[in-house]
Amino acid sequence: MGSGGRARPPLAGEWTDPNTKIANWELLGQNEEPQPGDVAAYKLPGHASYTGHSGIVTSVDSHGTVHAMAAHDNLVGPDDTFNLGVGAAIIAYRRFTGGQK
Amino acid sequence: MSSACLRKIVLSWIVAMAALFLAPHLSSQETSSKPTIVQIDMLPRGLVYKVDSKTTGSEPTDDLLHALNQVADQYGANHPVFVFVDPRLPINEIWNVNGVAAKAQLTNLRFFVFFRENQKMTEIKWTPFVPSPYRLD
Repeated sequence: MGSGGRARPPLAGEWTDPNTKIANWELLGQNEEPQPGDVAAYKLPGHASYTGHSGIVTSVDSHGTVHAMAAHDNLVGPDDTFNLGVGAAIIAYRRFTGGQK
Repeated sequence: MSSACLRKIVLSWIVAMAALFLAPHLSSQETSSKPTIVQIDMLPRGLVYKVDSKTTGSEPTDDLLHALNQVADQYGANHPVFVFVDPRLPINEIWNVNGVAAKAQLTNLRFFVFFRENQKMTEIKWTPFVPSPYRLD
């Protein structure tokens, strides 16, 4: 829910925030491995026009490298930054756990 | 056919072939070996980012992400970007800029701590993340 009371998609910073409840999307624990379909996100605090970066996991290779699709300035495309030490020091993953009523 | 005319035809053919050969290698992105310099300074009013000496703003049309998007658009994702950070900055801020650059799809970043007092700098190198054997509170 946005500040004006209107429903809106979660922001990237909210996907990473354990205190933000997102219906049907659970944060993965430290020892859980991401899977295709999970949302990956990291925070970028202190900027007025964005809160972070998020994408959808498309695969995890045999080395554990997470591959994703994400939106950028002028395209939506492959994005491998949702790995520790690549895009951020802390990456959050959320998994869809149920259907909409 | 005169030899001058024949030479003109051969020359035109060579130019056309050269153009056909080179065309796929040309793109709208410029190439520059000169790195883009990003500077992060800690001032009393807060953090100030500069990209190639130009201070960024806080609007989507002039902020740090916008400036780095333009670098990626102009020079490509692998263009070298050197980030000079104020030694007083929290390490989290270095990760923050790294993340903004990643969001802009820039992949060739190097980070340096710059000491104004003696105009010297040292590069920050990260090792891969490993599980910690220590548990800290």
